[in-house]
Amino acid sequence: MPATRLGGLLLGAALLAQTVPAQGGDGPATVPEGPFTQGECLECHSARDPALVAQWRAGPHGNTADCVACHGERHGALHKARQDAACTGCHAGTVAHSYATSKHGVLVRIGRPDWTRPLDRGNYRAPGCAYCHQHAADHGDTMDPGRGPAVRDWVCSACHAPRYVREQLAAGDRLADIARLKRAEALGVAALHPAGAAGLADLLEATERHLRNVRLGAGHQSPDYQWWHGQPALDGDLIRLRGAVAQALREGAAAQLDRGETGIDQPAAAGKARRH
Amino acid sequence: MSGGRVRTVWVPVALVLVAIPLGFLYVHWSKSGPGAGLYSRSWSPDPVQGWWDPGRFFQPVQSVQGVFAAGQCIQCHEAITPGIVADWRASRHANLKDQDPVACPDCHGADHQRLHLPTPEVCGACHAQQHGDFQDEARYGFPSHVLAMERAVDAKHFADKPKAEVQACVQCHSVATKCDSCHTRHRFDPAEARRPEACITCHSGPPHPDDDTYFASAHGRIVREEGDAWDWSKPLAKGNYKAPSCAYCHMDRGRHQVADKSLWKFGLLEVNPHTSGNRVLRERWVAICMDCHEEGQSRDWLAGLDRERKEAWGKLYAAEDLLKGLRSKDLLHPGPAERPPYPMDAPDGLWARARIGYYDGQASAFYNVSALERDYFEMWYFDNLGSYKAAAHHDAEGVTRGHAAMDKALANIRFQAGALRALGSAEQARDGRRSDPGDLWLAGPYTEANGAGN
Repeated sequence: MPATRLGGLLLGAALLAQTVPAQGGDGPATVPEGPFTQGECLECHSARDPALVAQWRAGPHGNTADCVACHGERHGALHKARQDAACTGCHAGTVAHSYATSKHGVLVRIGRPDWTRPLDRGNYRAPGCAYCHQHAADHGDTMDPGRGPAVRDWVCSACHAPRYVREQLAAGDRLADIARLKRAEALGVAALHPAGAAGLADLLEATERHLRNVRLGAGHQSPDYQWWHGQPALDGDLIRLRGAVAQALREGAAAQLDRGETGIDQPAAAGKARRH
Repeated sequence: MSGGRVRTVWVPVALVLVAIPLGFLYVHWSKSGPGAGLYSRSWSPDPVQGWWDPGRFFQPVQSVQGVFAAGQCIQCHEAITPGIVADWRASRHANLKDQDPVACPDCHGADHQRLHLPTPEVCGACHAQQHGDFQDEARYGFPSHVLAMERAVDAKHFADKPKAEVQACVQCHSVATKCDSCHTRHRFDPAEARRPEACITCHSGPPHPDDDTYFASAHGRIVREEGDAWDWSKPLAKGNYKAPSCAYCHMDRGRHQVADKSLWKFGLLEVNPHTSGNRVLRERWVAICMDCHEEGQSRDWLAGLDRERKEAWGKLYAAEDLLKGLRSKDLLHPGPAERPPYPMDAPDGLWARARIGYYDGQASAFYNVSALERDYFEMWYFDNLGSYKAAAHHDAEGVTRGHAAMDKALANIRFQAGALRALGSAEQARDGRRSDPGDLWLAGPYTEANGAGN
């Protein structure tokens, strides 16, 4: 491995280490079992783990999910937050399904992982939600693009060759870029509708949803979301948008011809000229 | 024999003798481009293609030099990629009885600059029976696992679309080019591949909702409820499982062969179930069902599938008739000549035609077509295949849903076809020809980027 690549991985590890406060497993044995309320969790942990609490507050769950929501009320079962079921109650629908149909999701589903082990390199055969998104007790989102590519490379490369990780992540970016081009094309086509794009809201909303599917498919490594729920679905949206605009233009032209005005035949000739 | 007679015999014979080798030479030439398959001269592989089709495209990393023994590989990779080392340690490869382990260099080679990813041939060096079964699928044609990569790259849209886009295809179609689609690395556990979940990463989604239809069936519900407690290390043989998984029926007795019972061909095209060949295939299905069910009941179920197919094809042909009627009057818009010039459309310059029906290249009719053709594509590829999968897996509600969707699609196509005919004849009466809203189909960031990139 060349020095630069190794350096990148070490940098990833260092960046992650910086963002993750030191942790002592599931807490000292002297801690009473509970149940605890959210207020009681914070009362102790704001003093014991101020960095961790600060990271949770600043992260995506700071305003949406409290300690109890993911960890439950009892110290003895805190590690339940590592399990997919802790996430899928809220992150249901396409987010959960795109992961569940990926090889990662399948292996976690059938593999009976030992969830008492920390979410760290080599401890799991396949990553659950939290392994990637709350890696090594991260209480923000480890996969937040703002963390930079080195952090992702580090997390994935516990199981995959560093070059594989880089190339697959880059391929996912290219795939999403293509979907964004289709979405841009859809907006351009819709703008040509003689009555404005307002009547095409459903189709435009579909392009947004299908673009999201492509991104979920790339991120969660689900071929079906990249493809059937994504790219060809966007192709269909584009075709239907064009069909709707073309029909409106033709009906408008027919009405104009009815009144003896000029039709819109000029661009037709241009279109054919480009083809042949 | 007169000279004329000699010519009538020998000229055709000579032409045939020239044409056949020329045909072979042409196919050989067309397959020898930078890509793969029949259109290999029309595309170059995306950088990640090597991970999915390693036998053809994998390039080993050059930055690490040296020839290593297994212990040395493990020493480094325990730090670099601890997950796969832990996985391998738990695998049968690492724990063989009375035998040295099958270790890194056995599958990847020892020279780090000439490493390879194992292809089915590499696995087949030891697992000859399984590899033989797998290769044997080829003689049954599509659909099959062993021909899946060929199927992907020989599709018109694989050459037409950006290679970064069609990378999504080869993630599943690589089931032909490596074994870890079902036995994931580096555990390679047969017990994993026996479970239905092993199949759903690819066998899901609108054209092949095998996951939804199977898990909605009685078989699938039993496996979902109780399967976690079962011993999946048992062979796929009569009496070992309370309910069948995908592999129990499709790869019965553990044979690595899914094509030799393929009677209804995925629902992709109409088949006559009563040919002598298909009767043989039916007997194979009946034999599997009879592991648990009575013969008469098994036959009744399969006859139900025949009836469902017949009904489905009645609906599909009704839609095809409507579309072909429009095509014959040039009422589909945009017509084939008004669409962007995708590379694989070049032959259409000679004979432009809409692609309606399986033998017209229907499988690529999801892009660069008119809205009505796309509607038919979805009816055929999503609603019809969904109904077929539901019928084959005994998901009765799925069949009802699929047929309702087909009825709705057919009614919509009929309505739209009427509108197109009315619009076309109004334009004909007023202007003498169909009006055309111009280069609507030819411009846009995606269309232009693809045109430039291809």
